[in-house]
Amino acid sequence: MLSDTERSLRDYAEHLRTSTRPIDAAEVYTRLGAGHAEPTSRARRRPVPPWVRWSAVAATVTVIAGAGAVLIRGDESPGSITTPTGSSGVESSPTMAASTTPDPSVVASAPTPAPTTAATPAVDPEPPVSIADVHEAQRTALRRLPGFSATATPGNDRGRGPVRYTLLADGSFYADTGGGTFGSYDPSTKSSLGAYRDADGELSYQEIVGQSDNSLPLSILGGFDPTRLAGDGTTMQDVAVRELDVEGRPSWEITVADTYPRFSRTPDTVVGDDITQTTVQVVDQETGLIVRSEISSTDPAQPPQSTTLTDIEIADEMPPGFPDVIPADAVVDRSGDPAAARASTLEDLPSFFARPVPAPVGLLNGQVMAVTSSSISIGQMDMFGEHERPEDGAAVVERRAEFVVREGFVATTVSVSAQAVRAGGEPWPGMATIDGYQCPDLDLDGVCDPPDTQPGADSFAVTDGALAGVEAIISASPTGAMAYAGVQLGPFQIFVMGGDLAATQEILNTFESITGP
Amino acid sequence: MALRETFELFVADVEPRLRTALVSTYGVSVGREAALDALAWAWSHWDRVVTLDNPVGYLYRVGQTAARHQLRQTARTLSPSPDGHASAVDSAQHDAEVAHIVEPALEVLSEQQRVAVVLVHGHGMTLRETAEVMDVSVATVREHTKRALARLRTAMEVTDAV
Repeated sequence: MLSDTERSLRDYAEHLRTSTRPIDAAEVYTRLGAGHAEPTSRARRRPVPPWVRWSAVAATVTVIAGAGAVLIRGDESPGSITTPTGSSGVESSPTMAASTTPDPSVVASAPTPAPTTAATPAVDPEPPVSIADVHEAQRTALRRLPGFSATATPGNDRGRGPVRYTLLADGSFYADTGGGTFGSYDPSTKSSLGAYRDADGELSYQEIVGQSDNSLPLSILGGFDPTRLAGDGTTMQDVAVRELDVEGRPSWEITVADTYPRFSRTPDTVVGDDITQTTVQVVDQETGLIVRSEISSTDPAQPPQSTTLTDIEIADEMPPGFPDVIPADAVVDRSGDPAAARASTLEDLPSFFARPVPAPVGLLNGQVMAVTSSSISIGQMDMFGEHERPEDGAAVVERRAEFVVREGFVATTVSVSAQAVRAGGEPWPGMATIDGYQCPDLDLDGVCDPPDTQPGADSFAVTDGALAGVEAIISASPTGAMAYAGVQLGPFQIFVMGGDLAATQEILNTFESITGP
Repeated sequence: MALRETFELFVADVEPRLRTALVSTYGVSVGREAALDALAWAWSHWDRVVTLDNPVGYLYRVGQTAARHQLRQTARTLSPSPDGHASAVDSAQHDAEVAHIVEPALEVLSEQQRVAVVLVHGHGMTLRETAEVMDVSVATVREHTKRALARLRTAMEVTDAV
């Protein structure tokens, strides 16, 4: 027998049915217009794997770095490692982008965008490599790299000159851009400093306290993060790899063509049009660094971008001026994220969360971690949906501790978070409040249940430490280079991102419960 | 079989479920437009669609993206829901009495809860059919439905009391 609620739902569904006209193929053709009478022929693509659902999270994993000593200059013979020259100024015109002839030996079968990277064909063609090979080799090389200095030269489209910067594996970043201007990030204080000339030519200063990584100054001054895996964070639908020699250095060129539908109209486009964004990255085989990055799109609203990295020198310490200082009498813009991260220590975590906290104690080695406490809206639950800005007064506050386990520039990010429900507030739909924190309680038994398993995701049971016996949901990037694991332990959500599967499992086995001093 | 014939058969098979799910999620007008956008995308990317294990589930997600874009564009004209988001329920439905009763109650649900409960208890789809359309597990649909029904009962009682 139907309840009143169910009967209302039946009536409502009937109302929806009778209010909606069916769609036939003819209407679909009409929607697309004359230009889409037949689908265009293109290479078969794989379905989007479940991992892609986590790509938004994985893409936030930042592998960072800094300055110093031995290295690899474009004008050295291939593979040579030299002592540092001590050069820290902006070099003359970059040498990486010399004229070249494209190598026709494209390894992958995917469509090949027009080559745009300056390079010369390899003299001795290597056996074909896959994107998985490139990722494995990149990680091996980046593990050995303590840091580097390099000159980043943006393409003409960016309207800026070259910038010499230093990046260390711990995340330290510094660029002395001359004339009293600079940019820096200090991981020990989670702070960025910047001095720049405004439109009037006057020196202006900015200090942002509470940044969990160096991505802001690195992206502004360096143009891109050269320590990421080439082509990561994509669906890997159309990936082409070819081998090159760039200024005598063995390299790979990875081309990713990502096609997606347009959902907004402009005067010269229609809904349903394909937009193809092509990313071309050149990876130096010895260091694993991306030394050139180009992004172009068929969408005229998206201008092309490119940055080339040259005159790379290995470094294991920051330049003497780091992190630089802002004059005592300067007017400083300290506006920033009100929910910014702050530096914290392991011992502070229990008081931060107001309860015992699981953490991989043995891996931290006194590392400073970033903690944040921010109001969040329900929209942030949906990884496919719109990420709403935090709303003042929201009933739910997320407390998060995040730290990075590093091996050279290969970083695995570990985050431990819990969502506190403010006094008098309601948890989100589908959640319960247990001991002040909200969590899924599917059985209404007062115990946090594990989250839903994503279709296609795998899992394993943690065997040791505070998480022993807990089921971890895992997935991996298409190449297997990066794994993602999620664990629910009471109100805590624990995410491990960026390492390979073995490293991820090892980290989850090292958690201990910290109860405070 | 010609490409167009194949696609037309595909539309006949998939469209009812896809439209029903998106209309249940976003309302009559926005949901139908989203279904049309998703099917247009399918025709434009037919070579990709034929490789999909669960095309209706994938197209539902394409439709979600389209609907959210549409809602974002028109958010200013829609009344905010209790959690501050634009209402996902189309105002054009308000001429039906049942909509006046059910829609405010549905707004307290999450998007997944809403679509799950309307498909299962409204349209009478099985848990498995609903899971396929939503591209989630049967267990997930079961839990969303259970939670949604409980909240809906509470919300509708409140509505009735007013």
